[in-house]
Amino acid sequence: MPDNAGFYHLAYAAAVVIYSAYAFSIHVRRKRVRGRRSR
Amino acid sequence: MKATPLSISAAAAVAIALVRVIFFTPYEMRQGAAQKIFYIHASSAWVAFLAFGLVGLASALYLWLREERLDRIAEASAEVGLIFMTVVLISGPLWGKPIWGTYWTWDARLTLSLFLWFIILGYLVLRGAIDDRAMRARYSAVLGILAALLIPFVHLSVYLFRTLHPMPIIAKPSAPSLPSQMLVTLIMMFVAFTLMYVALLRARYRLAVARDEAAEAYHA
Repeated sequence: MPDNAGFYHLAYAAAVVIYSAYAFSIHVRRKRVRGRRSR
Repeated sequence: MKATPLSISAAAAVAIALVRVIFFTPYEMRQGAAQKIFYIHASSAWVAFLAFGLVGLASALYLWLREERLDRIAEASAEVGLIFMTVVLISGPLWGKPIWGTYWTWDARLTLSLFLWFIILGYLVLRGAIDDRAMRARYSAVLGILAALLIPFVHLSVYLFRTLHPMPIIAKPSAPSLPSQMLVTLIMMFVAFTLMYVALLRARYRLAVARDEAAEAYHA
């Protein structure tokens, strides 16, 4: 069996980072909009 | 993103599916560990197509009914779909390098997928460039429909052109060509990623509503 686990780990790590960062970005933007509304 | 029953169940479903991929799904003998990239790649691609399909549908309905809600759904789905498509375009080359010997080749499926990614990016840039809400909704709806029309070509490109990309394993006329253990894992990933998409779409839609309400309050 070929030894290519590095690519597998990298792909999953990249996906986790991208999806988490996106969910966090929605949270940050929502907070910013709420702040703008309360001003 | 707010913790709602939907977002919590989506996160739990993704976590369970990932545990199944990592610990309870066997390696494919010829491709080794890199074959497991397929689960995240195919399920992200399915969600990206679903998201862009919804962009096309909501855009067409907007042009017909002129409801702002439909424009917001299209906007939210385009942005969430772009994130899923980004993962497709990153995970694909990471599988291609160990299996094909190259990260990228200008093959029909890969090129059309990249092209679709750029169209959706253009859609979001266009939305950011137009201040008038009605005009922004109308112009982007046309682009959203054109982007959605590309989806069947991306899916069928492996039949229409000579390509390196593997043929569909599930979305094809005959029975799925995967051992049952791997098929169950793939279905779990599809369900989990669809739930994650719905949760992200809902959160992004609510952001669009809040942003529009803030803009209205500012101009009032």
